[in-house]
Amino acid sequence: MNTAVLFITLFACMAIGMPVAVSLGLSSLLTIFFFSQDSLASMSIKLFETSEHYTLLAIPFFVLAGNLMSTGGVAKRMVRFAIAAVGHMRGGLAIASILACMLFAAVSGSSPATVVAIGSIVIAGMLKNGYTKEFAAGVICNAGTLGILIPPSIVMVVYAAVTEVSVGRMFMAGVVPGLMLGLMLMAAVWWRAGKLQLTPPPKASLGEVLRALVDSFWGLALLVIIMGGIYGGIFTPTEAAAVSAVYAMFIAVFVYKDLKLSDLPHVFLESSKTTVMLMFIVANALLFAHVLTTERIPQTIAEQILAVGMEPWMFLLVVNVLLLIAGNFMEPTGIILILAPILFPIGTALGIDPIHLGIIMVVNMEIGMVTPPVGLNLFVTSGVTGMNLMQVTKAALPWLSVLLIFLVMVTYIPFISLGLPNYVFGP
Amino acid sequence: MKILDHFEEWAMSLMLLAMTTLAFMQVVRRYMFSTGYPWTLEVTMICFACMIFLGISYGVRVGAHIGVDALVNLMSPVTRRYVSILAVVLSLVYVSFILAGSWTYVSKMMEVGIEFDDLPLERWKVLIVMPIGYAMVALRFAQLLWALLTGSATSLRLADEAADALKMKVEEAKS
Repeated sequence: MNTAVLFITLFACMAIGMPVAVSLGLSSLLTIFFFSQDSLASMSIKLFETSEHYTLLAIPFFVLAGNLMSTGGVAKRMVRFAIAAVGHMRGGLAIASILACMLFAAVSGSSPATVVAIGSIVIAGMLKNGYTKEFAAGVICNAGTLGILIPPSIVMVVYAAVTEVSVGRMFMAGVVPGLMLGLMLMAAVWWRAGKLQLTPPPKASLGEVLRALVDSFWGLALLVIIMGGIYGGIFTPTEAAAVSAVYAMFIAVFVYKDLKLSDLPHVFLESSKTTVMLMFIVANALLFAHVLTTERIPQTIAEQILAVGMEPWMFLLVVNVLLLIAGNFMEPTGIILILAPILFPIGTALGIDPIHLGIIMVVNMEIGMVTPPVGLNLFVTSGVTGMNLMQVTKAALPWLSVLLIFLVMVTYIPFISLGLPNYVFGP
Repeated sequence: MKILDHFEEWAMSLMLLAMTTLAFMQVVRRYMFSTGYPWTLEVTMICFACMIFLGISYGVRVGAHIGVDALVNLMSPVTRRYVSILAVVLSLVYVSFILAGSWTYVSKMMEVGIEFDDLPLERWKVLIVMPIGYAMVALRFAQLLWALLTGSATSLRLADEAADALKMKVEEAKS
């Protein structure tokens, strides 16, 4: 009964177009009113406690760093380096674009930002070189999803906060799957590019490769600071985020000089706007998670699932289907915040590692970003290329199959996600 | 009204600036000089709280909050307006619950006068941003409701992340 009230009010509120945060908050408050003794005051203060959550403090810093990077020349220099390194191969420009997306993903925590930053530079170049518009758009649209899988990732920070797993571990778990998916997309490009009549640019001289590397050094150094700092145990993820924000500001304003000091207030306003929007959802989602816990909803579902005798692999299949459907209608943070508190205790009861479950959720979110009607990357790609939504969706479709194969692999081979974090941090 | 608009914007931006500076300084102090002020983290979190609660109303004003508008967009403009009025009224219900709840909490804290762990500052002096922020949110939703009732708006403005991401790119190209 309480479960029904909670979910029906939640979905009804969202269906009539109320903001996700307000829908989560209102449905939680109503459920508490009818079925629990908690006072309104203690509920309200749960919202405030979100700001005292050390993990979540990383979000504003990662958002700020991402915004400073995507307006700046970091992306441009990464593209230049990627082309110099692999541009001469068959399908070289497309492969280089994927590499550039991977590099950019390693300094930015968002997927649409990756598509805009890299896509707006490389798509024109690919067209000039004889690639079809569909090919270029499809590749970039899908490769851009790496933004949330390759750490740092805002979606992962959010998952870690609601399930109370370690962000460092979560980030580490994203590294191998991120590299694998990148390589799989590259292999698919290499295979399909054989059918296009292309003349790849000439092989860059070693000098040019080195010059491009040096030129993009400042951007790539950020990757070292974030990864090395967190994994070397020097920084907490939150500290690494703060350092990368200051560092990104420094290189954008003083080294690459693509931002003027007078542009900074605008960047700060945009970043705080994004942060507030995210944190408003997170705060209400934590309230929602609190209601789930006090009403023992996930535990009840878990008991029923165990009673039916559902195997872990069946559960994971259901999770994937559920997430793929949800991914079509909502954006990633919202889905993670609503579903992670429910799926995580059930998964734990079935013996699924929370980190593994987290990576499965993130990969599903990636797929959600390239499927209509709510596919952020599709919208962004359509904006960058000038193609309409239908054309972009069709263009993205063949590459989507790579993502789906990858999803099956990640779901049923836990080692892909768990191998590295277990090796580094111990099981 | 203009003053309030600017207040929201400046409060958010300055809080973000302060947080970033404080957190960065703390890292530098700790790793380079092996010292640090115990209050830094608490002040950073206070700034974070102020940014969040003073920024929500800005989000309502500019339509930054994410929602699902797939269904609403299928409706005829007339139905959409009525449904949106309902959505805003329900949002106001939520806001007034939290406003009342947080105010009760703050007034209790005022009586007790508990201080922060590392700061000689009473907790209610910070907690009060929550009722203040929610009062501002209530105001913004009320404005939106008025706009819907008078017909100058036909739906809740919800965020369009894709458009935002592209907009930043366009602005950059112009500059």
